Amino acid sequence: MKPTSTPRSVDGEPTLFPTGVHDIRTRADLFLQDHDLQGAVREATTLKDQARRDALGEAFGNDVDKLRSIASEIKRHTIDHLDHYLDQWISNAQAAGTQVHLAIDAEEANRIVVEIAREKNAKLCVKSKSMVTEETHLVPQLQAAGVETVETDLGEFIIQIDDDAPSHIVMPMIHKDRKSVARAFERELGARYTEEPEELTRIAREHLREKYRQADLGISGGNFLVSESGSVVICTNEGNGRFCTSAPKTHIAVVGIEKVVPGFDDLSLLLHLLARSATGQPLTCYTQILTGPRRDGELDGPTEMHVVLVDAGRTRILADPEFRESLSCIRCGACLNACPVYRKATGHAYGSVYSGPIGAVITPLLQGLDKNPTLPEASSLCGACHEACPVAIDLPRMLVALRGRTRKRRGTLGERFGLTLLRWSFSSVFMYRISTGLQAFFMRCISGESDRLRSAPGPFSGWTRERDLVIPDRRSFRQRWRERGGSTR
Amino acid sequence: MKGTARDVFFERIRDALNRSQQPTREPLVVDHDLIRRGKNSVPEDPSARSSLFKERAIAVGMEVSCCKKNTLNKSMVDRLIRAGISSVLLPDDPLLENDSTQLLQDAGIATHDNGIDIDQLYTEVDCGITVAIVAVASTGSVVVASSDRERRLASLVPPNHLVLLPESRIVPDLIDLSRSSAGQTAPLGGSGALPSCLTIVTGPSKTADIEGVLITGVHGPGRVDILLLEGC
Ligand code: SF4
Repeated sequence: MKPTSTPRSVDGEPTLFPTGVHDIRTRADLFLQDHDLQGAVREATTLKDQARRDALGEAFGNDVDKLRSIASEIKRHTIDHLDHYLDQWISNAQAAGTQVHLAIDAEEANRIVVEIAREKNAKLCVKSKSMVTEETHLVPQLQAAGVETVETDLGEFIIQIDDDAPSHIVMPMIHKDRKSVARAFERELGARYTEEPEELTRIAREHLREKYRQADLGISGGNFLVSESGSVVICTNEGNGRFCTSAPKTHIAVVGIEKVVPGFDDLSLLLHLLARSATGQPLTCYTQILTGPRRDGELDGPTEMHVVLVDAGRTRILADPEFRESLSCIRCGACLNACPVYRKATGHAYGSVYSGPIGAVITPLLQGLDKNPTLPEASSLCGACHEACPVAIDLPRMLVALRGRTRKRRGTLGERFGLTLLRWSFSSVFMYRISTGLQAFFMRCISGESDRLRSAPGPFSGWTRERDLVIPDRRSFRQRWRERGGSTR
Repeated sequence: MKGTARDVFFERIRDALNRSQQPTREPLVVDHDLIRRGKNSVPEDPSARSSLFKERAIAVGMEVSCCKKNTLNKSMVDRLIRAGISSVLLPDDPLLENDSTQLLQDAGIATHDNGIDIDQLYTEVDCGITVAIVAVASTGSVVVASSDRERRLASLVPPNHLVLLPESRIVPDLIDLSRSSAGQTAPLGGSGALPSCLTIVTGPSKTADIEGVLITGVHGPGRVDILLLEGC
């Protein structure tokens, strides 16, 4: 297998790590033309969105919103006392024999992992899915240090051998079809060409089993850190995460500092919401609670367990009361599935490991708004993400706040004049009637005989470029209401 | 400890939280128990609880069959033969009687114990047998733990997993995993008591990565059978 270094590029820039100022609009334009992609993403996200509603409703009925607010309260409280809970977690983890390392930024996190790999003289590393290692770009660093590193989550494995990049937090290869998998397996693994998902999965399984047996290092992420016990909790479906944390002699978990929760009571509540929100399952097939390396007397398991706690911009978000809430995210992907913009623009348009509404919020916060000035625009502010979020994060509020920060300039004379008119027209019932009447009159003048306005003049042309405007009836709503015998005040 | 020193790291966090020194921490007060009320509530009655467990375990794709403690060996052999299994890895657990090995071998099933060579585990064992330390009715999950009795890999490497579950170990909800009840200590108690690895198993290994097509048995076992020991 050829070592993967930079993921495929989309528009001449790397998919997840554009080097310059990233504009989501140009990329989204590209993906809007791709009909197969549009169909696949629409179908997968719609199904998962429905599965979430069904699973939550079935389990909790009318209590769903109450549970969401409890979950949100748990995360908020923990983040507000992050110093306490993280400190307690470290002490308990160390008491259980875990070696804890602290990384201020991505480079430091990678350096620590590479250093451990060197000390252990690791040759082959099996890795399970982890967003934070995508964020720090860990794999190329390990490869460069001579450690063959294999992604073992089926989707991530396919993405790795096909030199691609994940485009969804939970369904990394939502943008790929079976044909591309078949071609990649034929090319990179020398497998017989087949498009059967079952067969393709079996090929990957056999290939990766060999890796588990030989690997001397396993790397994982972590979904939660339980402060009261010093445990790392990992939620997976395929079983590859269990292999990565059980088969090799050394296990390293790389985890963001915001993942901590106070205790097991809190954990169980969040677990109830996580898988249901992500995939509609009551729990992921495997929920592992890892507390230190193999104990005396235990028959197997790694002899060393390391945890690298990663800051990488999180304290910056913590310091900003307006956006602190975004650290409550449990990475379930529900907001992506619910988002009409994500469904059309698709994951790679965001140019970031984190896409969708949560990506549009945290990418500018983690990497700088100046590098991602248009990401907060990638939302219709319909509120679907807020409604879907199991920890009730108010994403639309933060998107608006971020937009506020990019809009520091005064409007042009024309814009200000327009807004003044708008203010007048809303200032009283009388003004409102006059202005809507005038508006309808002008629209009829421009559109002629047609009942639709297909191209508006001057500054309004932008609006009609992609859609038509229906011409209002000659009679106002109030008039028609009265004609039908409705009462008015 | 590699990387940044603990005090430097925490100073950054405290700065961000706008705190000068140790926090004055208000306790977290939320109604965790909401999870056990309403639709998610589980009947207190043990037999209703185990039927709910069965229903949910089946719903996530596991097979459940029941037997009495004194017919355990026979039921186990039946189950294995019906699933076409010809070799097993046995745990070193008091639940299994001394003659279990003999009975399995008499039925033509090869047995391995924990001393098994790791390569053999990958190539020769059809089914890993383990004993659940606890099970969760509301999610239909069984919990297996690393110990001196069974390997972590026993419930992971072979394509089939047979879990033995004494009925009395079923708790109503996930939240009960961290609460001790009458005479039993909680599986998720204080840190000293925790094994290095607890796995809550809720269904066979699965993936839907390729075009959303659901496939079981991707890395872990594609088939999970639970043998529920009634009245035990
Ligand atoms: S913001 Fe909420 S919905 Fe979106 S991934 Fe995070 S937890 Fe899930």
